Amino acid sequence: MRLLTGRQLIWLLGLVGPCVALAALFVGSTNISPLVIFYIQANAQDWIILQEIRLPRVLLSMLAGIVLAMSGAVLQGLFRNPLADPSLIGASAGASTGASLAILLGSTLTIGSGLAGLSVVAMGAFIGSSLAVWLVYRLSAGPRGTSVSTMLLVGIAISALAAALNNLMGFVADNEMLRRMSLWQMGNLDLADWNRVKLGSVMLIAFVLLLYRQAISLNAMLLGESEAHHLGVPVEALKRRLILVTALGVGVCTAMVGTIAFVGLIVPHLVRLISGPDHRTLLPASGLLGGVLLMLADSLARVVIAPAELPVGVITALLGVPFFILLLRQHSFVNVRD
Amino acid sequence: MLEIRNIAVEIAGKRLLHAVSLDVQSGEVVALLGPNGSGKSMLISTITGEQTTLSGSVQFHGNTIDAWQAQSLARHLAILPQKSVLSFPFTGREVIELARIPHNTGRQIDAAIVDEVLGKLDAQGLSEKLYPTLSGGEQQRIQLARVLAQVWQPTRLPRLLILDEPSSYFDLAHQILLLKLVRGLVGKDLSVLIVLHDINMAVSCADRVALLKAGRLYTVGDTHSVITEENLLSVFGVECAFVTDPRTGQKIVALRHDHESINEKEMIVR
Repeated sequence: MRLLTGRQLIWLLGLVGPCVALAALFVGSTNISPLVIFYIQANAQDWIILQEIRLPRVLLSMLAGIVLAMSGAVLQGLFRNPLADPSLIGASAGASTGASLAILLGSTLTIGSGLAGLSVVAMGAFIGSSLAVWLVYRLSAGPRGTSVSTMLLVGIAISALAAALNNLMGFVADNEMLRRMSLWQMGNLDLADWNRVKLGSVMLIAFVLLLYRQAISLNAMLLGESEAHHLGVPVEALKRRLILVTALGVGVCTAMVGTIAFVGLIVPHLVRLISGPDHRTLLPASGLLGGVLLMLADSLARVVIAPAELPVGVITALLGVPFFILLLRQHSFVNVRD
Repeated sequence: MLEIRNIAVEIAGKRLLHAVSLDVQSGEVVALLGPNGSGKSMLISTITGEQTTLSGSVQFHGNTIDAWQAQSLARHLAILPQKSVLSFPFTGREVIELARIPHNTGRQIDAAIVDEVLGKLDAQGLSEKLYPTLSGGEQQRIQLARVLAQVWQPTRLPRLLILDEPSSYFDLAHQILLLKLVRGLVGKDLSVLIVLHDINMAVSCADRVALLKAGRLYTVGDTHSVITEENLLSVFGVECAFVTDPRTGQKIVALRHDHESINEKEMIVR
């Protein structure tokens, strides 16, 4: 009934990943032959495209895919709901609002881009997402701990509030700003550069370190909070840590590439169907599959209407939604009992 | 091993437990009985420290629950909750393996323990099935196997197993299996505190019985001195008769419903 063991899936994805990354390098509006690697004196322009545009872009899409998919897996475990998504705890909505605010203020105050390679917009998105998650967490934590269902409801409320603020700012903004806001919200990888890759790599390392050795505790959490408590898991500390780590991951990620929906929802779901819900293999396998899928989606975004580009968020949503509905119908037992 | 002293619990200004005291000694089975809402599950959650108390104390082997190191406590005390919320597609075996988290016994020993408890619960056939696809009774057997696996091996101090209505979904054969299992497990280094609704089950497996009524401990003592017509009438509002099994000599409680019981009268008044 399970197609592969977790270990097999990780090996498989570990082999497929580099192949996809390599292929993604040579896809785009300019045709570059893969043979360019073997030429001693290659076309200088091709090299520049590869080094300065394609490579950072492929790496950034991989980083974003890894972090979004792992965040989704962590949140689904934390909320004990296979339909949870990073947008659930308000991270994406908060990031959108932060970004819109930054676009609005940035143009009036004319702050230049910078801040360790991040634009003002990106900083705004990160701060917005962190604020939203913190607010959701504060509002839902009571004297007897955090109730998952309260937190879900507060998450919905905060997301609605952030969306309202976003619309308000869209109303105030002029045409150019409005266009930038909506482009950013669709999810966009064309701003990829080495600074973003560096920042993303640092964030990925912190993300993985914070999650290290938490997989078993997450498994226990799936039984229920009190059951995890009875198994000696420090439940409150674990919840704080997981919320922090996903706010960091999703916030920074959304800041660098915009809102990319459905990766965090679908990837852990797929991995669970293939190799089961054990987080010791679910987390790394989701990361790998998320990286591979986002690299593929971005390659597609670059060639579908070449020389123009589609925002990658549009691709993930267009492909993700029907696929997800299909999965739900075929395996409705996954979320029957709650 | 477990000493509950004068526990009082108040939620939203309403007293749910009034000065309840209860001991569990090493090597005994204590059954906790009482009508719905009498505070049985509340009492259990004060033992685990999940429910804060207004006053009173709970000590496990001479220390308050808070003073225990979490993993060490989990190796000595396992709790089967009334309801399970697991909706992820773990196999039966994987669910039971979660019980070994607080132990560092290694893969081989853990696998052997899981096999053993699967056998004890007649659940070998469920080991590779996905938990969410199992029936209520099958899920309950897997969860019971899980808490057994948690306290399967002797530890430094005697262990305590708390079961909150473990057999509510069991068919007759598995109820008897549970009875035999509980009696077979209990020894000088393992005790069981079990919440039950079935009085006959309590009679056949418990050494002592505690009756809870409206948040107060009505009485506690040897099973046969507590399970009496008067006590059952007063706590449950149900009349009953006692029959003796001619083969084993064991007391069997028969509930009477041939005339209006006090409980019904009370309900009509409400």
